[in-house]
Amino acid sequence: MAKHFQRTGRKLLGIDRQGWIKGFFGGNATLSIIILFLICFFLITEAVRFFPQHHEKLQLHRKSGQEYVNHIITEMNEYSQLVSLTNQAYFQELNEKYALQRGISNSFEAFLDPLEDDGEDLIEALEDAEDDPEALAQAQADWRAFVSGVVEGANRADIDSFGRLDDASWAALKKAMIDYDPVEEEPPAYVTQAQQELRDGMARFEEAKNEISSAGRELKQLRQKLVKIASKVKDDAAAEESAAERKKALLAGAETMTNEAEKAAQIEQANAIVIRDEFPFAARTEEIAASKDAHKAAVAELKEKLGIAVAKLPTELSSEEASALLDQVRKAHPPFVKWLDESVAKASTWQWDRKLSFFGSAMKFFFGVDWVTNSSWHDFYGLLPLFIGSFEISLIAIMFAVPFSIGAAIYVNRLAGRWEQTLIKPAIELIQAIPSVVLGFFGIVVLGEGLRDLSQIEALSWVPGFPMQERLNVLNAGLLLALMAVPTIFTLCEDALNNVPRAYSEASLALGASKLQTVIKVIVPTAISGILAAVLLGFGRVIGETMVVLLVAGNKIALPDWSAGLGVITQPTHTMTGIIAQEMGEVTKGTLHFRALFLVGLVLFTISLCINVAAQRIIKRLGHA
Amino acid sequence: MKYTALLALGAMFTGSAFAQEKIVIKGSDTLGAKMVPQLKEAYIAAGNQVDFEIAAEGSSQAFSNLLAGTADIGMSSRDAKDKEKDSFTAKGQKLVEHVAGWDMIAVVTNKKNGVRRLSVKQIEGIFTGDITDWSELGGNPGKISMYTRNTSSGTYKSFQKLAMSKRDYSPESQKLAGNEQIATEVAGNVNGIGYVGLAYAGKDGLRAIKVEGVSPKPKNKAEYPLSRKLYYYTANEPTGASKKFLDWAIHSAPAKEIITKVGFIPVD
Amino acid sequence: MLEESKNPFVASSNRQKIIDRVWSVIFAGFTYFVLACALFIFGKITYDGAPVLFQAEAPFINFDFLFTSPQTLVEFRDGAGELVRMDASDFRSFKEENPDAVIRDEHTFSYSGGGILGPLVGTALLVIVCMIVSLFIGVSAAVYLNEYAHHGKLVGAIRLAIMNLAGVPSIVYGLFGFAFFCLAPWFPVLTYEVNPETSVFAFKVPMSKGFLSFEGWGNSLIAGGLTLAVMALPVIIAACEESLKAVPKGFREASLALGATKWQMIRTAVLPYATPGMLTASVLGVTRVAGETAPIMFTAAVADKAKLPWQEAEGSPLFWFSDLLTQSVQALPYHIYTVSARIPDADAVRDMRYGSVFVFLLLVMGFAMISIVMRARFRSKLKW
Repeated sequence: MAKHFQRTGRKLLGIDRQGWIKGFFGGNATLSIIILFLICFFLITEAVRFFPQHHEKLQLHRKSGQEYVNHIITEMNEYSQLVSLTNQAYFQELNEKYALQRGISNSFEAFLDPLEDDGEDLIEALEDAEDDPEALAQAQADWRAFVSGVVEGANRADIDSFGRLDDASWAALKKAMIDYDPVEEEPPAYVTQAQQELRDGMARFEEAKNEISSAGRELKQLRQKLVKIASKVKDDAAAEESAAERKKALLAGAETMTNEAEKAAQIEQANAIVIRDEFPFAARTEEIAASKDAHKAAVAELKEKLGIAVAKLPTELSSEEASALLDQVRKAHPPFVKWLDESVAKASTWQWDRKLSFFGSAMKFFFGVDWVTNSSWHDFYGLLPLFIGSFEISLIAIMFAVPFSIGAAIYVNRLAGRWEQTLIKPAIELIQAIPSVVLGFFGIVVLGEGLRDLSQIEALSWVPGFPMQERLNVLNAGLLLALMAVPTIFTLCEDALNNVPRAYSEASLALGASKLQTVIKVIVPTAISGILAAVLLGFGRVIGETMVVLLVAGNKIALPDWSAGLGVITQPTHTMTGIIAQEMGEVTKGTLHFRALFLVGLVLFTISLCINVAAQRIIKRLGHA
Repeated sequence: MKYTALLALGAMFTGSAFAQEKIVIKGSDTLGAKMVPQLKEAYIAAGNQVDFEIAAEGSSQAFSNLLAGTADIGMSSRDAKDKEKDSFTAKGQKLVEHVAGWDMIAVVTNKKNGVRRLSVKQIEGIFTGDITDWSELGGNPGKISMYTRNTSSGTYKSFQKLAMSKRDYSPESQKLAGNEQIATEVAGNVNGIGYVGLAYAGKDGLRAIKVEGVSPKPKNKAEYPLSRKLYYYTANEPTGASKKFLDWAIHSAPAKEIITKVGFIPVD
Repeated sequence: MLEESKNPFVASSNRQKIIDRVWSVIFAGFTYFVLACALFIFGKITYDGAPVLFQAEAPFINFDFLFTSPQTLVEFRDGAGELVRMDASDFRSFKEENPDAVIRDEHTFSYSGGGILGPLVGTALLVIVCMIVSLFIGVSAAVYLNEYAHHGKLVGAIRLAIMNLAGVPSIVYGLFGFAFFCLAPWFPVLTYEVNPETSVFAFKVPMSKGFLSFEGWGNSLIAGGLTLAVMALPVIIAACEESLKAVPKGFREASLALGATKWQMIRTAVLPYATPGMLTASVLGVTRVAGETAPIMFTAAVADKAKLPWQEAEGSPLFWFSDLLTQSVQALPYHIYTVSARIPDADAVRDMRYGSVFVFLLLVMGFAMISIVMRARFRSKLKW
């Protein structure tokens, strides 16, 4: 037997050479499994520790009274939306009816910019010369010369930036500007007259508007007061929690000091720290608890005043937009009042020592609608807006990608000529190799601007969300991701179509079916499991994409504004992958924020796993049928 | 045979060539995007044999990295929170503050937007979401698009403190990576509003709003409601290369010239 | 025999022919539209980026762009009102040489001057680390799975795990790498200065001035390279298995029948035929991973670094090597992220933006194309 193939028997540690070689390969296989296992392990250990820490934070949120105050904050926020609508209506009406007067007032203000900026020395001279008539006369003359220079040289489009003035009033205003007194900052008569006309004409509306704005004054004051108290309680409680550690550290630090005076000072500082067993939440939040009645009273007042003021809102307006806005206010008013009652009732159940369920605080992560970090008030970690953002973008991407990739797969697999096949397949595969950061770059630099310009075209205004205001938005990101998804779906689809036995299509063609009929009625139904799996996997690829959404999605952490209907696709949003990329670099290890990001990572991991498993199942189950 | 191998191994460990010192600077994007890199370039050009590594992701990064020992100097556009100072004392260290200069946070809008002046109250309303439409501010109707920095940024925090009575940002705000990006977005969106460091307010197509009637200009640094100090931080008093660089970057004439050029105000 | 009218597929009428025609045109339209979109992106980037890299006169390639590192760009108007752009270092020497030169409207743009040497080198190093590790482990694991392991439930489970992990989002790998390689203190470094904050255990290395310290790798070349390697692993294992499976069973049986040991069989009858396929497929996998930004964002990459990694590393050879591996690096994809998100949209930054994107695209697509072509050739060649 050739020596080459001899089985030799030198053993090391009782294992022969073949055993070692097998062990080497096996070891590497095991290593790769260990690594893959470690990924899960690390994600899970970091992520799971989020829950107790988060629970603790929420408990502190409750104990410190922040939870109670949060109700008031939300009430104020909702109320301010009403105020905002009324204000918009008011100004719309103003623009419609008193555009000229408003233009005069605005343009006057616009003139102030160059006057105050460039004429600063002259104004100072005027101020200095107040007691000296001669110098005053000189200064005034200088000032007037300067003003007329500025006024003459002014660009009308720049000053009257809204284009509200007609030629006559423009000329009149220019003339009037000479009378402006920069020391007293008193507008010229022409301007005050216009302002007066405007005020008189809108008096009734303005009164109602102001009443609406001031209806919540009491509640606002209460909010300010309680926010301060609750923040202080929270900070003190947090500081006290680490008191023992700090004391120890200060003492340890003092040990290393050489300067006796400094050392003594630090020891004294350490000894000044009192360590209590428990923070006196009950005593500290007494004032908050006692404010429940004040809260009720403030809300009652808000309701009453708001009712009166809303009734006072004018019904006959010259601006259509303004009437529509006021209708919105009137329509939103009753549900708001009802909601207020509910909110107050909910708030009044607050007690600093009520138990918080662990499950409830976990759900606050999965279904929370706020993701607010590094806040001076309270950090909220709510996944929902991010999840919806990711989902929205992926859905758009898939919607665009599916017809194109399936169409292309059918074409390449069944309809195209040989040379087309050999060229198109690798070409589409090449698309897959485009790095995502390059696509993101393209989205920022080219596509965003292009889409926005396109959306301004009048003829396209029927498209939902057009004209769009933001160039970084869901649609932009979705389109780029669609291009990323196409190769994945295409390749897998093409494989699925390829796997359809030839006999099927031959039989169909032999029966006289056309090529297209064969494809639609025979091939595609047979390959449907593979196609479905391909779409699913494409979705998985898209939802895990980071750089494109980080650069292009617009990074707005909020639930979509559904009132825009399908127009939500042109709103900016934020995503799960994007938030990790954006915030990971800045967090300290072991903090709640750090773990929250890991938990988001775990959610992503789970989603992609589920999608993969589902795709495999579909292939298995439908494939056999 | 064995000895030579051992000697060779020893030689590998003991080699002597120590290269030059390296200063690692991390933290605020406001300082780290323009000012510090240019100070660095000038510092090296002035003949100082030092290596630099600069990362500018946000002020919070300054403190976490100083604490972890992975940075020599931290840049911050806000002062340290008590919690952050505590974490240093808890390790027996001291967080030392060096004022790097002054900055004004300019509130910027698109040049085509007619609104020129805002009060601090209005700004608070805009960024907390109480005011949602430009018509409420005297402008033409249009939904306000607001652009803010991301949460680790010191400007994000300073602005919250100076202009928003510490209230939380509206969820409608879009969080962007840096000053430059905000400037770009606002310049391209008539209904946009954002805030940037003074150095970035000069971009074409932007208008720096007069806040309470005061425009953000270096000479107004006392009256302008949204001005703030910028800081370098070190863990304990700086020594060696860091000290030399800090002294130069804060007090030397060429450094002051650079600081002014990039739009900040050097300390007197 | 079926009556003609009952046949569901009546012989193609004229109408059917037209419908057929229309639909195949639509499908073709879909296909070419996708290709056109991709082509447009390539075209746009090439149109704006190629002039940065190539030039009309010899040597036709702008080596300055490839062989200098990024720095600040200065833009100003000179006395004649001409717009001038120069790198910050040139600008300083220009000012020194011409102290009286008129400089107006001076603007500076970070990261927009110089070239892309630092990012190029960083990416190359990352890919090298990634390739060494992932090829070594991936190929061995594939050989084991395909040649040694019995096809039991465990192996099935392992395969399933690998398949599923191929679909895990890249940012999740980044998270893992950050926690595992950067922060966790179980990886040792050789250093002259132990970091007291992060080191859990350190001892002095005999016969040297330095220490072996367990302090984690931090934001470093090795952490980033390994994160990429972990990410490439499932792809590489799957690709290698495919190549190994393509080698006919008869080769193995014949070899064993001749008395070869298992290893001899693998070495002489399997690997020689599988290697080309394994290599090209792996290169394709690594290329895709090399284009990723998310995994290296917080494990390896920094935006600005004055020197190349090996210039900055210091100490005796072993320490030097350790220092090299634990340096943070610039990387081309991260550089692109920086220049697209962190610098203003201005004419002055256009060259840097499009130039670096063009070079990156050229590299990634070049490698991808080569491996796709090579794979196609191997597939057609190795058919038994």
